[in-house]
Amino acid sequence: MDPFYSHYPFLEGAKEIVKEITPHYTQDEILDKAQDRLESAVGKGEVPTVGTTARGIELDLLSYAAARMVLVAAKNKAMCARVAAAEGRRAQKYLQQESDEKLLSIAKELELGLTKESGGFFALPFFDYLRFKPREEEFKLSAKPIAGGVVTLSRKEAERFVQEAARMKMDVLVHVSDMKFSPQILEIGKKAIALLPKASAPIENIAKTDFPPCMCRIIEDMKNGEHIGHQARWALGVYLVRSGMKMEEILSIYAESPEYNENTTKYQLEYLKNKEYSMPSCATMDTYGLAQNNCPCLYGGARKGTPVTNSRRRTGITRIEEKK
Amino acid sequence: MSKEQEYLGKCFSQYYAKWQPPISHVERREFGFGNWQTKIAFRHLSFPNSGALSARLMRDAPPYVSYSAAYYEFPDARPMPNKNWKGADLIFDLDAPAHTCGKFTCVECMGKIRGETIRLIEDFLVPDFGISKDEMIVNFSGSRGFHVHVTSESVHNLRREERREIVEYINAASVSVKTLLHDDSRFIKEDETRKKVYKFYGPLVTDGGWRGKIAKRFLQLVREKKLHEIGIPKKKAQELYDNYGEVENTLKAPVKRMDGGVWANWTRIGLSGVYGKMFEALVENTKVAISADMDSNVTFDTSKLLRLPDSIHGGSGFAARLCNDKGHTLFGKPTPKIEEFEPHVHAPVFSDEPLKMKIIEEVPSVLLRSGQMSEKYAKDALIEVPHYFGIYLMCKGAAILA
Repeated sequence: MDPFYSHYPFLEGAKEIVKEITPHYTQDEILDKAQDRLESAVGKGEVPTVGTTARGIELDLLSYAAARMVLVAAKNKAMCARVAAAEGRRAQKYLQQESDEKLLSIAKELELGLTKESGGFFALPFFDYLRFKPREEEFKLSAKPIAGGVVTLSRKEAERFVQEAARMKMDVLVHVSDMKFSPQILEIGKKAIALLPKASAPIENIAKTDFPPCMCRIIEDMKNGEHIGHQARWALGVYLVRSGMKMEEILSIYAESPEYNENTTKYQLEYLKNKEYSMPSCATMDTYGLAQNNCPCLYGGARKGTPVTNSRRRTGITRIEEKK
Repeated sequence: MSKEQEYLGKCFSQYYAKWQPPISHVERREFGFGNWQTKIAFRHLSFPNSGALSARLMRDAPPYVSYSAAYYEFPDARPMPNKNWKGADLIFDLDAPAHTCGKFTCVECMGKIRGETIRLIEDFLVPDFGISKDEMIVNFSGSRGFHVHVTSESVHNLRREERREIVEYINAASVSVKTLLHDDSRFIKEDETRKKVYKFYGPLVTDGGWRGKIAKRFLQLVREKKLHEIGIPKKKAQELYDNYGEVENTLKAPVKRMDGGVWANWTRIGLSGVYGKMFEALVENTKVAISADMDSNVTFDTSKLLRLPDSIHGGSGFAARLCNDKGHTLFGKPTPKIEEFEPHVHAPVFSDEPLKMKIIEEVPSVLLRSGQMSEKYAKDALIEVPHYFGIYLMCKGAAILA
């Protein structure tokens, strides 16, 4: 059997094969493999590569499909993000060995407008570059040769973009509301979630009781490994600093983010503390698209006050003391 | 409302009576109107079409009119998430820096910001991003700067982070030496002594983007004999001036590096140990010469409201005129090109009829529509000036009707 789709199980063609071969295996065989795959991805951040036997290849493909089902059932964004990253890295190992033509056809299916240039180089349209840009500093747009809306990439960089596009495709949780999952699937999900790397402080308690919905939402998104924008990150920083929280407590909240870097975060928090930035008003938070509909700051349709003043107004909060 | 504000309202209303907005998709935009106290006093307004918008502007004659770069399904819905964001133009907001000219922005300050706007278009948007001039509109903000709107569909769905990347590219915030110069120097053992072999890879002049800009800047500094600007000692600099041709060839010759990338072999310039420092200085020097400074918040805040092109700015009485030649006209007058655009000449839209005024605050000499400079006016002076200039002085709060 051609192992191609087991290397890239996120491609459409894999679905057909999965349908075809499922009847040849028992549910237990498939779920066992799926559990291994998930636990390795969540726990170690890597997915083992495929064996060479036909049975190994087929079970590998089936374990991917079953693992996706577990992710859908478990509805845990952080786990989905971690699995997508691990699966992406595994795909990259295979991409290295592919011909240019294969690389391009996989890119095309992932909606990445990659084309081949002369001299072993690749070209990527500027807007695709922005959409699929990996986070590493070397991929800052300013570091790349760009002309006429096209960025020139080496083969290795092109592979990195395909990996990123695959990761992004897999980092989507399909919402299914009326589907019943077997207890076995739910159990596998639970076990895998337990393997997620833990942050040091239990922030959930603080977040749920003291913070306004907009801040809870930002923290929640951050915890789930979603990329939160600059304004959200900044507003949260100002809020936490203005709330009079200790630096260590604040850092433990940011530590939930997969992009967390202690030194950078500390520096930025110190900076905004020294600058004495004032809290943006709830109306401004609204224009940033950060305000939430279930917030008590919505008095009669118009947002009043700031997240800090509104937190103070609510009872039982001793932590919040605005500095100015 | 003062007598002057009432008078200005009447003039603005007459202006809007025959006016058409030069923007697309009016029905999907949010609008905001200002009053004499604040520039956006009411927002979340929406209009089914251009006609409805002009009619409302004629009726209310607000001193400030703003619109969203964003497109919404329900532009008047609140709070914001209920509008259902459908995309947004890509906006660049360039404002003249604070200067002693104060509220009567001088010709020099405007010239500087016009230059930056042109550079944004000619050095970044067109050559690097491949955005054609047909896909953008440029307008005077009505006050101290220019707005560039990229309206093509390819930019509509850019997320905030992607817009931020664009901003950091243009204002050079993301430009770093680390990614532009590769130091592959290493020690080798030769006759029992350790010896350092320098190997530096840097950008080619033929590269696109910041790489090319930096290599070209270096070449320019050599050509113009200005290497002292980046701290290169006199003797070495003279050597490079004498061998300009060789320097140029080196920076044009592509060499493959281990990582698969193609670079110029900067080792051949012969600066041995000082590359890191020199490069840092070079990057800084290029940033100052090339980057365009703008209010980056406007670019990545995709729900911001900005001045509606061709509307009147209540702080100057000027029209926020379009200034790129896509065949636009304002009341039959062709749109001036940005290169020729002079706010005091092209943006006043009212007549030359004489108007009697009393000066209440000293007015410096300013450029008139005719191209001549006005007189300086002292406080309490009674003057007769063209209608458009009277409106300018009233909007600036420097004169009242006599």
